[in-house]
Amino acid sequence: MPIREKLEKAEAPQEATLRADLKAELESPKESGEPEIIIERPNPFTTHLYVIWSKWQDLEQMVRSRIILDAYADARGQVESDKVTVAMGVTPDEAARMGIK
Amino acid sequence: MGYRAILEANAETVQDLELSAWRRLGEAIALCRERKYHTAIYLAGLSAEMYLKTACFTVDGAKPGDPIWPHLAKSAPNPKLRHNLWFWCQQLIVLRRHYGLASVPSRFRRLIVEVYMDWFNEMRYRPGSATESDADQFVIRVEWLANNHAALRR
Repeated sequence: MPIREKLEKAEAPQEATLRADLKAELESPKESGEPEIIIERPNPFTTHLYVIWSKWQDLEQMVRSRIILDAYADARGQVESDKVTVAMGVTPDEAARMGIK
Repeated sequence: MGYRAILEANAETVQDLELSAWRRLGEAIALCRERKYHTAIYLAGLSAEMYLKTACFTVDGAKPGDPIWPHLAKSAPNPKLRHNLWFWCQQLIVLRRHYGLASVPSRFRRLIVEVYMDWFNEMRYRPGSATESDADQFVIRVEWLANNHAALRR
């Protein structure tokens, strides 16, 4: 195995792909597996979205949040998307630490 | 890695504040049941502060995943004002007017005055002598803020 002097970072999954996958999951949820989507409604005008997904690993929280909001708007429409005040993407490890389940 | 380092690994976002507000209010309600009235008021007041801040930031165009610091620096350059509930109430009213949004619900100003009269951030250094009635009334007011947050931020 050759020795390299520079780390080649694996390319992060494309935003468009993740957005499309998430939209598909929102429209036709699978019985099990990832992404796991939790939709919490503290009141009729507020939605908290949590998406537990290993694919978030290399993405910043801001990017994860943007993908979730965009996918939710694609799947449920802008009116529903405007109710979202928490759009949090977490890996399974992060979810466990934050008490999201 | 220490807990602080874990928390500080990422910049605070608007949705961090939103979720913290929701969780702190839930903890305040739990503390009321445990008869820890002073701490219940303290936590519910923090929740109120965060709900006011996120309403201001959202009206000003922030998205849930945005870092709060640019908005905080813009809205409250003076750090002394950052825990002042009355300041955030006024800030929200001014911002809503600036963006041509509807006035805040009529109960809002009165409620903030009541909350402001009971809560200040430095109360954490006081041993506390709040009664059950003090805490119940305070928490009910902050619950109103949480339940009407949508009307304040859009």
